[in-house]
Amino acid sequence: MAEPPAKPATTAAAGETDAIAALRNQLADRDRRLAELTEHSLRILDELARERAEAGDRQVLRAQNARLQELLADTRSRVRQSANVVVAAPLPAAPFEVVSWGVDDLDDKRLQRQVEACGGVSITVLAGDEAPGLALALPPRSGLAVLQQPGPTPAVAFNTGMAATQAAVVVFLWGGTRLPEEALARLAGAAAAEGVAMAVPLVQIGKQRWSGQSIDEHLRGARLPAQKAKAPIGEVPFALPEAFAIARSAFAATGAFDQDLRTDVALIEWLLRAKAAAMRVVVVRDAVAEAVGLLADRLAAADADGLLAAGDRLIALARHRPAQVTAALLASPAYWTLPPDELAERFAAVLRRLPTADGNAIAIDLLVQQARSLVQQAVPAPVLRQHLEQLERILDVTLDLGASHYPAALRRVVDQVHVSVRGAGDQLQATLERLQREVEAEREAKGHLQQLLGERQAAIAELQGAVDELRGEVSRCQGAIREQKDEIIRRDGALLAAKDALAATERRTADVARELAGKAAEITAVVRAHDELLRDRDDLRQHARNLEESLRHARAHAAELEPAAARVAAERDALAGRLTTAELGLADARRRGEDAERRVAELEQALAAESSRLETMIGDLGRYRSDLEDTRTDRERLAAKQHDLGEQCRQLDARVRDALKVLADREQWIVTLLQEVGKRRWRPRALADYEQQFLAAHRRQP
Amino acid sequence: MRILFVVHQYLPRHVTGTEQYVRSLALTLRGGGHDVHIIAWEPFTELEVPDAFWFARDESVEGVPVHRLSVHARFAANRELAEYENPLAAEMFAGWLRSRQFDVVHVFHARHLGTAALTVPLDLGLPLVVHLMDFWFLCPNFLLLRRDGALCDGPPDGGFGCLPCIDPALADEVERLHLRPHVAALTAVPPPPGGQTPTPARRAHALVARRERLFSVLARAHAVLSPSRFLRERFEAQGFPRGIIGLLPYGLAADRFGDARCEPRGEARPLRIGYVGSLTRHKGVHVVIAAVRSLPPDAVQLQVWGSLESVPAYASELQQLAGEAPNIAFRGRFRPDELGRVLAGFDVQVVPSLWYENTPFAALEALQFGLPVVASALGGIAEVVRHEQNGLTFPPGDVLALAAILRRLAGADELRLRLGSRGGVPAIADNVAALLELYGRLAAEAR
Repeated sequence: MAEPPAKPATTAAAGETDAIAALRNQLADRDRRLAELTEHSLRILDELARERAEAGDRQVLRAQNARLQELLADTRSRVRQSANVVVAAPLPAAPFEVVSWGVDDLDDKRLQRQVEACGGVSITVLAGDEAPGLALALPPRSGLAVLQQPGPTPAVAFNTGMAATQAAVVVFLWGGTRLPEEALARLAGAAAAEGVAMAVPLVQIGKQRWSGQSIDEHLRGARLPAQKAKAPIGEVPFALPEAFAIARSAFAATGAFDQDLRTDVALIEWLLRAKAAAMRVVVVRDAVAEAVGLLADRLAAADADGLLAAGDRLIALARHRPAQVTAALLASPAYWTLPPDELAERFAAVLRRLPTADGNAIAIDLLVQQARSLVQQAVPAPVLRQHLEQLERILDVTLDLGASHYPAALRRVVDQVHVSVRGAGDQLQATLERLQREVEAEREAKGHLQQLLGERQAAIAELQGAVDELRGEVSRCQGAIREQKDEIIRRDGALLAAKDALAATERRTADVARELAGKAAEITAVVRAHDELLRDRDDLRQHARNLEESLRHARAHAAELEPAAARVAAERDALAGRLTTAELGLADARRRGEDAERRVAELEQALAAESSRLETMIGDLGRYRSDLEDTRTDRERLAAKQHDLGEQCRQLDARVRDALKVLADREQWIVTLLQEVGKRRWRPRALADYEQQFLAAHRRQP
Repeated sequence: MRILFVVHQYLPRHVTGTEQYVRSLALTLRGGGHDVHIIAWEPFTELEVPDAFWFARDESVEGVPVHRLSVHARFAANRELAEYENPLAAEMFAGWLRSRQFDVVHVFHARHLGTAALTVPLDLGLPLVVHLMDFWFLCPNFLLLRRDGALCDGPPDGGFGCLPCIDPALADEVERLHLRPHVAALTAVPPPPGGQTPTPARRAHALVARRERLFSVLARAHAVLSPSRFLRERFEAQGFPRGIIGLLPYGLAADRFGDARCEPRGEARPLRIGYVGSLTRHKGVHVVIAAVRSLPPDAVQLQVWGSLESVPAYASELQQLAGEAPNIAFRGRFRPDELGRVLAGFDVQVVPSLWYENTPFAALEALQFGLPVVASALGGIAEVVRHEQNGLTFPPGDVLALAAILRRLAGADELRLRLGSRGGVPAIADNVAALLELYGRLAAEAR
């Protein structure tokens, strides 16, 4: 073992002194208290971590709650706006837009004029299957969109128009109706006013102008001629569907148009809802829309017997004026001129579209059966018509009688017959008598009819009772709706309470956070106490070790002293001498150690200086190396240049040698020529001075 | 003397250098007439002891009485704490130790039994010797090697640096809950042993306060032994009091190689390189495989000895790295008595560790067998393998440097023979003699 481990055992032998035992007990007690305090601190930390983790969870829950509330608001909005119509948020940059609908039967030029009339206003055209072609036919411009919406009913067109646009106000123009841009702006401005459900312009066809329409007790509309007035904006009962403006806020408040209604009754029904909310319809008199035709005429052409409009009105009445349903049903001649089975079928179809139809199927079946039996017992109008046609043939006259007014007309016919036959021949007398008999028979039939009418009125009374029952059912349903509304309000209240609870939880969280801060301070205090305890413990342990060590040494010393006190006394002097020697040696060693430390310090300083010098030298060496590298590079470059120059010199030498050789040859040739000049026999001449000089100069050269 | 050895695991299921060293000491001491017992922790498996929460049983391994104990994981829910403070295990150990008489207790590894391995004998007044077999008292993963493979000097950042190394999720949790300043305030306080609830605060505190607690307990031991100067310096650099840790280099039994001898290498034969040890990443086996693959296959051969099942993912990675190379063979485990036969198949042994090896037994065994060792110049290895004296060293993880050394050895057999003849490993008998002297002195002082 290179360095044998040697550490004195600290185990105390039996029979420790009371002081050591007390110290040990004290130490153990302090250790226990320290462990308890640590456990307490860790518990606080665990609680702190748990609270912080839960606080994180609460934030997640809060975010989730916010998302759910957004979803709830969105769902409410969607429910309010039925038929999948989504009300987009209005864009501040587009105060109003135009929706053109009902353009299927319109020629392209008329539509182009409508688009041009709108100027720069954004316009959305709802077209049918021909939408792609229409989009190509229209001149391209910004803000023009063509949507494909095959055969929309008015309600579908209105809802689609609201969904396809984003402006705060939307102007609906039917069938190519034109409205100039400035009039559009005035109309939109009026529609955007507080409490306005719709703003309408004056609708003009030819020289006729209407400002709106009114409705009777059965929701049948009647156009109102425009009246002269000073005020540019007035109020009308109901709007015409050909042109109107609707604010998105009013649409959102009132809800979507009812797409179950397939005629323009949907507009009236929507306005009834708006009026129930104390909103009004205003007419902008200085805005005139030029219409090509009327929607009512188009719908009437498609609904020849009027059954579609009658059915829609019955449904709207059932919602808004339930007391008028029966009267409206009886006042609809279209129903009562049908064959019994068809009437029953259509009657049932209308009744089943009523809002409370699902819960009153039995009552509706009863009503339908009663209606069928009532029509079967009455003399059908076709039969009466046959009788009149027979009378026309007999009298040889044309009787233009409305089917619904035959009793009064019949009387007039009889009177005319009496007048016309007064101057007739005898041969007509029999005919007259026969006619009189027939008239008598008709009168009997009339009496019978009146009797049947009484019976029918009784049946109607029964129907009234059933309708009253339906009305009661409607009231119950309305009560249920109110209860549901109350439930929604209650849930809203619960939501608010939950919010309050959340706020309270947040307050509690804040309280807990404050409490935790207090606990953190407590932890800090505990830690300080720990530190003190640790120091105390270490001191105590050291104290105990010292005591144990002292005790052990003292015991050993005492054991040695007791049996050989004299020897120890003798040895004490020796030991003292040795101690002195050792102390001297120790002092010497300390001095040597101090000297060594000083030397080490000096050496370290020298080393630091050497290091610094070395760093400087290394830096210089780096620079020298860099310079040397540069010099080496220059030398290599120069050597390359020298090589190139040497090569060039060698080439030049060769060229010079060649040139000198050529020159020498030429000179020799000139010398020969000059010599021949003097020697030739023909045309000899004397050499010129320069030639002689040249000859003399080069003759001397080898 | 009646001597108790305490170790964290023991043969035959667990075979690492620590177990081998304990075995050598125990057998040698028993051969000298001393009564040696071993108490070892055993990982708890419910399959082995169904419906039980703890077990304690006595066995005999090669004639040495071995007492094994273990407790169910439910009593060690706070893993970071239970690894060094487990009250139930402490109680079991104390109960067992009170019923027996020992002259001295020698702790080789305290993992799982924890501080009780030291405090129980001390409280009973028994002399206590602690052997530092690795960096366990200093580092929770006992390797001083971080999760990313970087070497570590000891618990960094006041101990908080151990959190992401041991459990990154715990480190994130502590930061998220802002627990750090509160836990830091408790660093100097030992965790309550019963705090086994695995809350973030308690787990973090167990790691942060670990070094302080273990050092304070270790300082109470009557003798602390280190097999290398490097390990001692690590401990002292981390604040352990100087002058306490003594040095006792590992010794090896002389007869453990049987009849096997180091064979001379034929000139025409390729250099046979051997690796013996765990196939784990920090042992750097991939470094030697990469180096061998960079050399001509007919120049060198590599034999890798070690269990492929311990860390299957790394073993698979090694096999992929070796590919179809005909000169690399994975030989698996071998029995302790086959060590001589295995080493006789080598011309040189590599120890390419990437962590601060304390004193690798593989290197000691090779040196004792007469093989030169090529090893990473790192930690305690450099004390055993001296460059150009009994082996060659290279920078840890440097594949090219290792390949250059192997190429050099393949072409110069006289160098191999020269290095291999200078082993210089102490004998286990020397260790036993030193320990008996120590035991005797401590026992006498205790009396």
